[in-house]
Amino acid sequence: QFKDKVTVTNAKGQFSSSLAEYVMMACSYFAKDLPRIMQNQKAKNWQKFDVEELRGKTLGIVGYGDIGRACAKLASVYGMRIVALRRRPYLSRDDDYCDQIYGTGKDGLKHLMSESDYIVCSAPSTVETRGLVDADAFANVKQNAVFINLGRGPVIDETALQQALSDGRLKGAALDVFQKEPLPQSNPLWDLDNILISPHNMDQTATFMHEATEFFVNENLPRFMLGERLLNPVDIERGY
Amino acid sequence: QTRSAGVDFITSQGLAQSSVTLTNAKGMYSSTLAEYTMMACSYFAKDLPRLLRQKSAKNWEKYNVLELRGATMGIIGYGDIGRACAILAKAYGMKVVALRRKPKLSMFDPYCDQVYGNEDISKLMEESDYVVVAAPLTEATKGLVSRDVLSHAKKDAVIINVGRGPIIDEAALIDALQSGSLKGAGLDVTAIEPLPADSPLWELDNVLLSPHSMDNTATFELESTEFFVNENLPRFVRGMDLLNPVDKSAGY
Repeated sequence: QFKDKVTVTNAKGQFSSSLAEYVMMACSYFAKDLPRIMQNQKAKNWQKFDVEELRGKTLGIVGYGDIGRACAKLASVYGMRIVALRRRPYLSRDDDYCDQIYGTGKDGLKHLMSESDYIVCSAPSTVETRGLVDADAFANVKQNAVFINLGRGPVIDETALQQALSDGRLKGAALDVFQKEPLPQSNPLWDLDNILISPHNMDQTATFMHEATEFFVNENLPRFMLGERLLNPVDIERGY
Repeated sequence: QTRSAGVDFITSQGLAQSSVTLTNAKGMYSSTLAEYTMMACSYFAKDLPRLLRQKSAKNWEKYNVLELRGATMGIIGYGDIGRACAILAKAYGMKVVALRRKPKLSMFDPYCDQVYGNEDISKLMEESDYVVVAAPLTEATKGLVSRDVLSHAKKDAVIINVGRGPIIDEAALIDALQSGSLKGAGLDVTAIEPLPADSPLWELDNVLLSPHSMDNTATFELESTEFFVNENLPRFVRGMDLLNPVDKSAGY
């Protein structure tokens, strides 16, 4: 209903850095088997075991916007191979960080899932992305894959994710976003061992409100008043 | 040729004076140790222990997280491991301050914002949010991170040790962790290994402890053996210069 009257702008790009840090932490959490390290520490058990490297592994990014790209930038310095999926793959044809880019057809997601050791979902929630990562997608995961969601809960089929975690198809998951927030205590995700849960706060830095407000006050408000083009316009039809 | 990077276990006096050439496997562990270092920094920045406690209690409680971006990493011992950490830290947008025996060697290093010699270690401590000890154990580095040095730590600093336990005064470290003058520590090495059961380090909840295993990749034995077989052995047989020579008098 707002289509012709109001311009919507957002704070995209402001949270990318902190979220990219979270993604690398989540990958390492599983690669170095931090749960086992901490368990051993609690038991005062000095038990050496092999650790994995992220170097040489593949990171698949579903939704290659600012956040996806910030993750790719960091992961590439770790020596990871990057595969990405976005609506308009041609936009990233010459991207410095991506080794392979897929479009959003069903095959694209299947390929990405089958090639990735670590999958990051950083897509916004739109009519097109709702339930995008479904049971079919999880059926195609690589052995021992880890799934990370920091986009929006509704993009993944949470039941299918839970199933994939319970039957061991996924080695683990790190979730900062959920279909329902706060996550109800009755949700079985709380009880799974191989999952890292955060209360949608991995972008909640002490300065984020400050920076987002500064962006409005220093960038878009003056632009608006001077009748100039605004930064970060949202395509209302597309939803992001 | 040792299969390890560390050669501190070789204590023979005779070896230092002899004409035997000693080479090591330095550089092979840097990548995985740098990954561990960034994980340990994020462990404290995002308060991973709090996340895990909240999960056990099914408690959805939002809290602020810290960013590594903009924070300072101080690296004590700027060799292969230190440099690998610097490369990652820079990618995260951190400021990097390094300390090494011969600071001039890193004067133009693009991954260091500042390089200090050993005499400026307290300065490094005062500037660093995350202190990474990545030095080898030698006469010069034993006890280098002393009680006095630790007292110069920045508020809420985190210390990470991927070098050797004895470089840090462990009793002083424990005191600093217990009193809160250090926010936390990530220790992959300790003064005595295996760590004795009565060490307070096991029970401190601001310590992440691992059994000197963060360089134990499935492929490390293969890679260091391959290095010997494919690189140094042919060089030796042909009378060529060997890679990774150890300076026996310096100890690394």
